[in-house]
Order: sequence, then structure tokens, then C-alpha cells
Amino acid sequence: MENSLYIGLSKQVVLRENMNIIANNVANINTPGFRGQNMVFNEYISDPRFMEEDMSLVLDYGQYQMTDPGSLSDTGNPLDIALVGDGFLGIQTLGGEIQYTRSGNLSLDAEGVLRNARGLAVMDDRGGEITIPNDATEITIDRQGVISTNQGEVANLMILEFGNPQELNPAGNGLYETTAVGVPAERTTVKQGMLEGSNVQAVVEMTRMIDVHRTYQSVQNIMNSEHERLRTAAQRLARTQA
Amino acid sequence: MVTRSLDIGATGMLAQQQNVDVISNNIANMTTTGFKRQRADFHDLIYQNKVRPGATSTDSDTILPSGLQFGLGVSLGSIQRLHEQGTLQLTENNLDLAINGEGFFQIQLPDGEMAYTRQSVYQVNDEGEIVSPQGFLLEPGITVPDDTIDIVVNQSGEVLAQIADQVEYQNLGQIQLANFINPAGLQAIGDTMFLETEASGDVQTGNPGEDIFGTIRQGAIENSNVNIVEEITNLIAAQRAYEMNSNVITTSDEMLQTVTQLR
Repeated sequence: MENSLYIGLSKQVVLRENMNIIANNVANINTPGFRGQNMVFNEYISDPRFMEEDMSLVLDYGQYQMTDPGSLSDTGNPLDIALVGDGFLGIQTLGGEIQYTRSGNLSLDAEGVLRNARGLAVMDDRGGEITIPNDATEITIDRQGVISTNQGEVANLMILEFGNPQELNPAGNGLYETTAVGVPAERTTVKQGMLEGSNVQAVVEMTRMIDVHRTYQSVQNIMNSEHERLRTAAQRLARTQA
Repeated sequence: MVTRSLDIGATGMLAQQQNVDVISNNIANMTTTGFKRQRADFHDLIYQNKVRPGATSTDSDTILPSGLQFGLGVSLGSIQRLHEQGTLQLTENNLDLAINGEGFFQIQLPDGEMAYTRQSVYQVNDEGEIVSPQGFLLEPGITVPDDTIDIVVNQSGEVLAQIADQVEYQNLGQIQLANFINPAGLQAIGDTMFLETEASGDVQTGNPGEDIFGTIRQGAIENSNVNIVEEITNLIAAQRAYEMNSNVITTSDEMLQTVTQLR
């Protein structure tokens, strides 16, 4: 039986997937509001016949988001907001559904509608679009997410908190989709003129990458020596006495 | 495949290269009058589902708490122009006009189209018209008489001239400013001039000092709003991110090399 080869193979397959996740984290090290991901491995017990002991393989089981806050940087732009706390901003997608984001680099369109960096409308707490009047100046966004101008209050930002942030699944473009229902934020505050960076930590990712790399090599060594052992065994057993 | 992490590392390097391009343009224009800095905004690319979140793990409807979704890297989402006020610098030249607050000067391009600018240095051409350094007419057109001794532009944009042998100042015209609901949507055409686009919204014009428009400060220029400390910090961050992405590529490459040594 070549079980040790298969055990090594199972480890190498998950290490490759882990490497992909690390690569994605590092690629997004400067993406506003990005949350890094981490993998969960699981032991998978296989019970081959005619064997006394179970065989333990490794399986990539799932992944989770790192939920620690990203670094805040002061941009001075009144349409940049950072969320302090676990909340997410509600964004309306082109299909009409709501997705969520932590990335607060907002802008206005030609009609004064508040949009995210990809041009999708930012939603107010009643689920509508937010329109800044044409002749208004001095846009301020307070700690509770109330947007006002020199002409008075305009709208409240939709900021939701989720019991389990892991139920939010990344959808690309800084957005998250979920079937979970969020509640209006109580512990999240808004900071205007700041931007939350990516929460990926360079040192951690580099260390994990070295770890993956070396583990990959050592598994390869095990597989090489197992291969060698099998070959030597085959040669010795096949040798006949002259 | 391990080559996916090679591709992801490449998207990261490309994004940081574009980031450095934007930062270097900002730094190159740090002393350009009326220049507005730009910022590269990145976002994560699409995700590939290996196991969809919410998939069932057994026949009794237990649901996996999380799926396996692999991100495919990063891309440049937008390059946003930040129209914050630049610092004003006194020059005492009477045709240096800075806007303190919101708004743009209107410049008529040679083809008749209107361009909008925050640049502060103006001159008089051979016919006495006030023009931009490129020689394009300031709108609405203002002509300075030959025998003018002194020009005064007040905060609300009235251009007054003292003519030789006259005691009272003569009103030559009114400078009007333009503004847009979304100045970030203007299209840059170089020479710190911008054109109106679908994204900027319709142009609104008015006299300086009225509701949304800033006031005019004569004898001052508006410096670029590039903050050099911030740009250098961003440059360092971009360079390190570039190096780390190249590390990802190197590691992926070595993992592939390990595979090719397997027999």
C-alpha cells in the first residue's frame, strides 16, 4: 500500500490552496476595507480495509475572515469614512439586492447621489439612495452616520452589525453578500475624513508563506524517500540468487 | 493549481506599479499651481467558489459554517482626484488670482469649448484681454484699457481698473466661477484644466462669494494640494507591497520547482 504517498499528497493539495489564499491577502495589502482570510484544516479519517490502524488525511475544510480592524489613515477627504467597530455599510447592487462593505471611499455622481468607488449607490437606513442637494456645501458625516450639509440633515447611512461576521461572504469589489439579517449598528461609529486600510498584516502573511513553503518541501522529502524505499524494496525483492 | 498564486502575485505587483505611477505624478506636480492630487483605489477581484458557503455537509441538512472561496487577486478600481483646497501663497502680483473655497475659473479653449481650472496665474495679452498662461481667454472676457495704472480684483470677483488721470476706479467686468456637484468626475486635459463630463454633473456658474462659490484672493496663488509627507509614506507602502507580492511569486515558483523534482 502506498498510503504514505497519499497522505503526503493530501497535505500538498491543501498547502497549495493555502498558498493561494496568502497570495490573495498579500495582493490586497493596500485595498481599503479588505479583510484577510485564513484557512481551517480538518483531519479526515479514512478506514482502508485490511488495515489495523485508521489513516489520517488532511482536508481543507473552510476559511474564515480575519475581523480585526484595518489601519486607519487620515485622508482629509470629506467623502472618505471609516467604520470603527464591527458594522458594515449597505450598498445597493445593480441587481437591486443589498451587499455590504467596509471600504468607505465614497463619491458623488452627476446627480449628487452618494456612491461607492465602483459607482454603486450607498443606502440610507430606510433602504433608499442618498442624494446631496445640488447647491449644498460642507458635507459632514457624524459619528452615528448622519449626513448633513449647510442646508441641514440629508440622510442616515445604513450601517448594520451582524451577530456572526463569518456569515458574510466576499463577493469581490470590496463587497460582501449574506443571507443573514443585520441589525442597525449600536457599537459602530463613523469617522469622517479617515479611511480603513486592509487588515492584512505583512509580517504574519510572510511568516505563513515561509511556513507553507517549508512544509511543502518537507512533505516532498517524505514522499521522495518513500518513493525511494519502494523502489529499493522492489529491486531487492526481485533480486534472485544466482 | 499553484500557478493561481503566481497570477494573484502578478495582479498585486501590477496594482502596486499603477499605485507608484499615480504617486509619482503627484510628487512631480507638488509645486504645480492649482494641481489637485490623485489617489489610486484598489479592490479585491472576483472569488472562485470551491465549496459554496451554506453547502450541506451531511444528509441531515447540517450546513457548513463557511465555504471555500478563493480570491483571485486585486485590481485598480479607480483613480480619484481629490479637490481639496491647496494652501494660498502671497505673491502681490495683481493678476495672481486664487480661489479661497469651492469653484473653478472658466477658460475658453481655442476651439470654443469651456475648460475649468484652479490655476491662479493670469496675464494680459497684446489686446488687453485677461488670459491664462497658455494664452486662452478667461470667461467672461475682460479687457484692460491701455492706460491702466492699477488693477484691483475684489473678493466678489469684480475687476476694477485705475486709469491714468482718473480718480475713481472703473469697473471692467465680473469674474464668474463654475462649480460641479461632483468635481472628482471632471476630465483632466493637462495644464491643470478640466472638462465637464457625464459624471461631473452640469456646470453651475455664479459670482464669487455667493452661496456655493469661494471668494477670490488677489495677489495670491493656490499651491498644489499634494502633501509630500503623505505621498512619501504611500510610496514606501507601495514599494513594500510590491516586494511582498514578488516574494509570493518567488515562493510559488519554488513550490513548482519542488514539484518538478518529483519523479
